[in-house]
Amino acid sequence: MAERTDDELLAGVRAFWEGTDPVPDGLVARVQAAAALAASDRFDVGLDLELMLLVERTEELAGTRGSGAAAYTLRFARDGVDLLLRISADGTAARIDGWVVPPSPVAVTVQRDTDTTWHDVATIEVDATGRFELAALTAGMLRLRLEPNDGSTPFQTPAFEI
Amino acid sequence: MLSAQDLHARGVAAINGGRVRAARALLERALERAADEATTGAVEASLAYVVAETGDREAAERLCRSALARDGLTAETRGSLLSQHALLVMLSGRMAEAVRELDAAIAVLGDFPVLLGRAHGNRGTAHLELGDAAAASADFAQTVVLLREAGLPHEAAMAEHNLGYARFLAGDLAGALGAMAAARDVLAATSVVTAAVCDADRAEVLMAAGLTEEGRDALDRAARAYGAARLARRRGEAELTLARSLLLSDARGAAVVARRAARRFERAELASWQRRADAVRVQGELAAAPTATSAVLEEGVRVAEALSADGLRWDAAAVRLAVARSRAEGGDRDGARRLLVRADTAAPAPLSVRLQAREVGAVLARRPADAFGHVRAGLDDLHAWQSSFGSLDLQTNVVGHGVRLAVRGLALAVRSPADTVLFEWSERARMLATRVQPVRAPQDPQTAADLAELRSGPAPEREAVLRRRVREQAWQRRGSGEVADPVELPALQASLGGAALVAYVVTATSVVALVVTADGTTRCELGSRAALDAVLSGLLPDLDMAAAALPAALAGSVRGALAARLDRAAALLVAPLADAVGDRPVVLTPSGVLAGVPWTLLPGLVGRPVTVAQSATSWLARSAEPLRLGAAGLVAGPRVPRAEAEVHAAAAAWSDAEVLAGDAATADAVSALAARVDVLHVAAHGRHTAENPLFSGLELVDGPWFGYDVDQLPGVPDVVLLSACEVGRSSVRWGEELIGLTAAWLHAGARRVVASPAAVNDDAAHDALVRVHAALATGTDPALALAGTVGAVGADAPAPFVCFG
Repeated sequence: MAERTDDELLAGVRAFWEGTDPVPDGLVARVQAAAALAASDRFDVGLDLELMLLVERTEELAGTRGSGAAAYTLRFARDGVDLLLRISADGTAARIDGWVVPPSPVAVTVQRDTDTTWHDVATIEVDATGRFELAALTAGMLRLRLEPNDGSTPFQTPAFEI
Repeated sequence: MLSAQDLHARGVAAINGGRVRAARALLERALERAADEATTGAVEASLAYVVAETGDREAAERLCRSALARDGLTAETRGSLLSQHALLVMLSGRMAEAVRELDAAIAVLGDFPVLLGRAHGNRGTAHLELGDAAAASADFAQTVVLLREAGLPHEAAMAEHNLGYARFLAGDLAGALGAMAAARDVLAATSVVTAAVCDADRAEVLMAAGLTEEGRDALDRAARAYGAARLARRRGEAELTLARSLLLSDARGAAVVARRAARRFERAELASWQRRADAVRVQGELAAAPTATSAVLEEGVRVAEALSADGLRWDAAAVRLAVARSRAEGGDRDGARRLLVRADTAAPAPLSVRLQAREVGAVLARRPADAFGHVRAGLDDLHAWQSSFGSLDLQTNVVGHGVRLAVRGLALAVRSPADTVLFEWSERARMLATRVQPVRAPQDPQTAADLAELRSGPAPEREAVLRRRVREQAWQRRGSGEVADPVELPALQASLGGAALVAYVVTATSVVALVVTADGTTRCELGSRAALDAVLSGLLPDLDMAAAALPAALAGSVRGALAARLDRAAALLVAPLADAVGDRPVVLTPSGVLAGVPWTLLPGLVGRPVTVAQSATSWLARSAEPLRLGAAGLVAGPRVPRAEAEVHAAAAAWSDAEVLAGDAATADAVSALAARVDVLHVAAHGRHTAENPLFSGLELVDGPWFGYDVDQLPGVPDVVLLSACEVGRSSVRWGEELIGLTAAWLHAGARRVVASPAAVNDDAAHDALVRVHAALATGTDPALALAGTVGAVGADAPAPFVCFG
């Protein structure tokens, strides 16, 4: 194989996908609408929520000797709180492993997008390690709400797809 | 005016030209003008064929019977009529009757090679349906010879395909796949339907080999092709095959598919086929719901009787045994015993039927010793068959047939108070895939070329073709036919020296460990299976994230969470054994569910030499002679920042180690190096491929170096260090047996493999393995060398390397 730079390779990958699987018309507008909706929820429900921001999405584990496993990592952050999510395949279902940093006990609620509104799927109590696991999830748009046990302001992630 | 003979000749010509309607008109006129019995019979024979082709089987049968009653028929006519009638009988499922008629046909057709070849072929098919694979093979072999000599390569290929199928039924999977592949080369080009026949039958072999996904895909394709060609019976047969093979893995799904096939047969008025589908549905329903209603049990018995009457004894036996098992589990021992006696389970019965009978026998046994006897005999039977193939892929896959027996054996053993019994069954479960003695494969030039092409990054379609061919080539390899007996407890104790062996046994409900030392044995109950599952469920993500380079605050928390989980795992798996193990080095034989545990990181085992063995038996065999630790070879793959530093630093520990790095680290160069060193070290990106574990590999400068490449090596080092992510990971196919790159190395003959079950941090791998080499170069055992370098999980990325052997 001829030696190519990363930029050239990525440009090739982009050209390939734009040719075979172009971004659907209106997707960008729909995502913006969904984000606006997500942001507006805090006012609709009247809850004081901190919306976390997606800091990073990586397929590879930096600094390791893997060549891209069938899993990816999302990192969200807000006001000194980090949320790491590792999303992997669990047979035909999906699985989320989460770390709340700094570790603290929180209640994590999984919400699923159901066309019209967000439904609570499950709530789990996370202990002081800040570590939680959500198994046997079906594909779709999800978001997580984190309610610290100490009563401080809850956090919510933007929607992400699994 | 044309004579009857002329009209007959024109009719036959029309048949051969595919003009069935015209042929019928000509033959009916010939029949009116036929003056003697012999001519009438000959015309009726041809007409019967035409009528059968148009779908009116009853009319065709009547024609054959009236013709056979005539005097003065020639041998050729008589043989044709008998063959023709036998075919019609076969279409309605009465196979035993067909065999008798074909016996008579074959007796008179000696001078007519083409007719004789076809009669052999049809009789072979009937034998197959009756489950007599040996008789079928003999018939098909005759057909192949006769028709090939008669210049009919296409028909000969059909017979060769059937020969493959007969071999499959006789348990010769490798021979079956070989014959089917040769036949497919000739047949697939002829028509979509013929290709579908090839694929559907091959799918059945794949299913038996435990390759459920591949088999299911092939059957789906075949069923769709039959559906498009409006071939209801063929389509039903494909569905029936799918249903039957789903019985092991998805009983409820099997029942659903069998019901669909039964309806299709019913609409096509194929009563015998419908009964076979009903039998599979009943088995599926019984397996899915052990507390079956009496209606299902009674239906099973009824269907079995009807199948026996059709001469389909193995189909009948399978459903009888399923009913018997259900009755026995429900407490009706006498009812179960009666059915077991009625079922045909003696030697020529297919393995699946024999194993089913062993299972029923084990349930019915009054004394545990008798139950163990049945399970043991069943597994021996399985291993004898398993030993006929050489490919690790197939050996692991066919384990599915024995899993139910092994699970029963383990459950019985955990209840037994005797440690010798618990140990024996721990070994047997561990050895489901490893009792067969490996054979060194001769290098296959086609496979070597295919692997090289795979490395070059072919287009996805081409890649799929190449991968399939590499896999299938391996399947056809013959096995050693030799099966190792599990070591007995006293013999193990005599060979342990100062080490302790820990056998972990995990059943559906509980976890037990047996600690074996030269001084004695200790059994430790480790708690519930649910508690173990809870600890293990997030272990791999913990390890993967702990290996990643993260901002300090994140890394600290993630590694802290890993340490907490390892503490809980150790509290469950290690702490209860502390007194029994003392400060001995340990050899572990973990159950399949423990495959991903980084043993060297568990508190209580940190700093202690740990060897993870496939079984005590295999560990003893691998430890029989001192390890060769003379010559070392080290390889650095591309795109790993610390790899070159690692191999050069590690090489410095040896007096004359060979190093391959940069452009020199090609697959060919690494294969050649592997063949001439005692210790091989590869620092590279690694990848475990769960769906096809022998395509797991290490990234070299010219592409991935696969598990299949290991299989092709002319010589194998004693010690292999895989300084890469994940390649110590294994896929568990059916419960206890493991397959992956580490298993591939051990299967190929390596005696110790140091690898990680999860992601590995670049710096951590560098630091740990450079120090391991310093110890190895002075003759230290790899497990001891690892014990001196791998520490407990702290603030830095862990080095979850484990010594397998």
